[in-house]
Amino acid sequence: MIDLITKILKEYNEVSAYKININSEKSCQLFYVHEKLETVRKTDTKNYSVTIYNKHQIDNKNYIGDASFSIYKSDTVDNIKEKINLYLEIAKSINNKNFDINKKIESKDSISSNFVNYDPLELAELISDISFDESNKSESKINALEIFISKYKERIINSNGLDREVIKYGAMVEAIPTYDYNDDSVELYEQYNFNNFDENIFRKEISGKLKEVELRYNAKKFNDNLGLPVLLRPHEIESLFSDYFYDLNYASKYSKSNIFNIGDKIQDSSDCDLINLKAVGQIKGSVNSNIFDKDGTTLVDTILIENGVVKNNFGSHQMASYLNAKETGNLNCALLEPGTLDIKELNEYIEIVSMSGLQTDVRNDYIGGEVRLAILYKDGKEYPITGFSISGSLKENLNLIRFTKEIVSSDRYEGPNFVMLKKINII
Amino acid sequence: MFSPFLNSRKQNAISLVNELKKSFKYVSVLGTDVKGKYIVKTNNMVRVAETFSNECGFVIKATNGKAFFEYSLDDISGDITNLASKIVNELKLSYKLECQMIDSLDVEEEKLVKSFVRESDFDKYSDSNILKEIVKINDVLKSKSDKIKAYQTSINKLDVSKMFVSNNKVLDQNYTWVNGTIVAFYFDNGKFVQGFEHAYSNNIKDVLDSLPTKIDSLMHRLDRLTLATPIKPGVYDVITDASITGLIAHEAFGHGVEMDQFVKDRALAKKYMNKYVASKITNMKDGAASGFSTASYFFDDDGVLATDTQIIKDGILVSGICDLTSSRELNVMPTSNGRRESYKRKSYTRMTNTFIEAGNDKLDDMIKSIKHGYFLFQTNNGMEDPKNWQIQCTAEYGIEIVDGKLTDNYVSPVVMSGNVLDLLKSITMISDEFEIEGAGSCGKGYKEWVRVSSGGPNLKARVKLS
Repeated sequence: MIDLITKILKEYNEVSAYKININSEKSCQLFYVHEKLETVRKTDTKNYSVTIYNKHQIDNKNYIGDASFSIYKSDTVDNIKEKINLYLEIAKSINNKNFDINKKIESKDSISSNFVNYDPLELAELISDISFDESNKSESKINALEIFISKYKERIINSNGLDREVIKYGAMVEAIPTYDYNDDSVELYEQYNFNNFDENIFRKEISGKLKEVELRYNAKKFNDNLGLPVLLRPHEIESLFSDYFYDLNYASKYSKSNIFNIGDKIQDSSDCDLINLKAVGQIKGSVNSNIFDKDGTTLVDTILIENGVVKNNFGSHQMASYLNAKETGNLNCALLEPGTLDIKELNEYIEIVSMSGLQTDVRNDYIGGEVRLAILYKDGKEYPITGFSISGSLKENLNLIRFTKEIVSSDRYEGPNFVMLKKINII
Repeated sequence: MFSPFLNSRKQNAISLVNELKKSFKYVSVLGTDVKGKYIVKTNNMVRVAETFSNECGFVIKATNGKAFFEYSLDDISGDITNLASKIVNELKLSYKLECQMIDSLDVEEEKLVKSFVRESDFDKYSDSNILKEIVKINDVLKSKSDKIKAYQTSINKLDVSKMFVSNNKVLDQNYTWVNGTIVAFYFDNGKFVQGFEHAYSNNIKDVLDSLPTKIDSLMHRLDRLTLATPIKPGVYDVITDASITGLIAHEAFGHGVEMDQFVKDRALAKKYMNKYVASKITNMKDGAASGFSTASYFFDDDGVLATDTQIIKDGILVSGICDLTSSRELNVMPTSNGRRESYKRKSYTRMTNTFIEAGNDKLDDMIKSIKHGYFLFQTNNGMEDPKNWQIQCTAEYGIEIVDGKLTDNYVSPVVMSGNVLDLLKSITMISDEFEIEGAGSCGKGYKEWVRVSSGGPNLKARVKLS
């Protein structure tokens, strides 16, 4: 199919350049309800996404237009030509600033994963066995379990001879631990994404969550604004810095919608651990790790914030060309340097276990969200608490933030296992 | 126009169902050919690309009276007997997994062969024409103020063709939807703010005509937002605009009545059937045939014809919404709420057009009735909690109400939280106005994205804000 598409594209003089992204997925999925198998799914799909470019001049000035469309395995030669004709007309009417697509580079890689050692269905079965084994040892139960085991092949080719391919594996496990007592019932929502399976680590995660949901049942409603420090876990830490990721992308800078520029201070205090945040291509165990982006640009780890000051932007080849900036590729994962905090130095604090979602708004200087489960550490004891919200000034909290020394990895994040915020209101 | 490609595969689908019926009690084939396009002009770039909704492929769904089986693939051409054999082999399970299967009731469906089409004006507008209109809208927006630092206008258009073939049905449908958006980034009073306006219809002309009429109100709001302050956290009387009403209906309550969650004992609503869950003046609906918006299809991804489902009647929870699989586990009728993110993903119970019905009160009277509170505007996002009925919904901004009058004080952002039942039972007034917003998408957990709409009248309620 690729040969057919490229052969047809080369017939069009007005197609100045092209790229084709080919994404294949083979997946095996199990869906459980109360330990009973409800649905079994398998997928075997392949998609071709074509981008055509047309360079043209208006009043002696060079422009480029582009348009993207899908080609399907079922498309005939006439279908393909019809699509090219249609989208070429669109590309010709677009006058973006000129740039050149990526030069020739060839590579074939795979992201390291031990999934290659497993049959996908057997791995899914193993994951379900472990989950329900832990569930049956516990007072809590897993009411619903979804397991996706997938193999991906991502390939990009372009008209300059670029041809890059990467094979990746990934698992997504959605588990709903539930605790019932009499007529009452509570749950927590958990989603695990990983590309390396370690039975012991997975078992520990599941049993930990089963214990935590029992805590939610016993949690008391809480609204004492005691001014205690609040600890966030990796899932929320990732959300905490997502606005900065978005703002520091070349696309935000080029469109002039960015707030921060290089040299701007994110923190202007010394009463904190300074933020050292990197955008990286790979995190060990992450499904989102990659070697190149959708344009075939090699991902280059880039320091975004250094000692609390904006150091660099990052982004796609097109935007880097426009801004005359360094080629980094569109990086997907975050690496946050550890800090100086040792939890043992804290006497009293609130550790947030589960939230509906951490909301941050850099423009309005806001951080907050609804807490489903937290643990209050006070007077040497632990009290599960629930039913409250947090809110505060983002800037104030970043100026007092502390990071733990220990490092963990989760979906798109590697960094401290806790961050501590000191100016959070409990509502 | 219905997809010529799917048409060309109709006989193959019928043959495939007949072959697979030798191995399964019930078989269906869903074919999808969805063309979504995103056309955007920013202050310095143009982009035309396909949207995440784009797909073209097939999913086979089958059951043996126990578990359900699904197989997703890109085409059903070639030797159908071989293809059926391949699918059966791929879906073979170990003995251990077979022993774990649920028991489910037989799928019952009426015999029906029908085609559905909703006409639109898509043929009258090329993408180049749309781009020219977008450029004009951008020019008007840019001319309003030099405080606008960045801006964009976009059109997101969707042309959906789906085919469903099963033991008893051969259905096909074609319909369209358009979402238009203007976004502006505005700097004043030392603050950078962002604001947006939407327009939606099944016709491109309606959206292109509507967007320019919203520019002035956007400008006024941006100006006020630069002076917006954080809200003082507390419990307040609030009036909601249509989008916030919809957010409450969808996020706070709607997810809780998705009956695939009943099967998993994940929904508190199961215990509240035929009980009061809201004030007596509150009525709520969901359905592809309930309202006209982005989720107004003719049949769902399980081939169930569109319905208009009353969820809350006079404050009482009277019904949930249900996909086919869950209906066979719960022994209820499916309500045409079986939806997939794409042919590559499983069908779940999903909302469609979800709204609270209009009441009898006048908005002016509702504002006058509040001594101190806020009028909340513009959905930002929300998160479901069907098990415990806690809510977290974010509004872009609120306007303070003092002594029955709207002030000039804006607060932003505004997070509503608390207990769903407390909020719904606190509704004391419902306006006689009504609007549905069709620009939304909804996830289940953090995945399975489908297009939805929500809305309703203005509500007066009491809720925790922070």
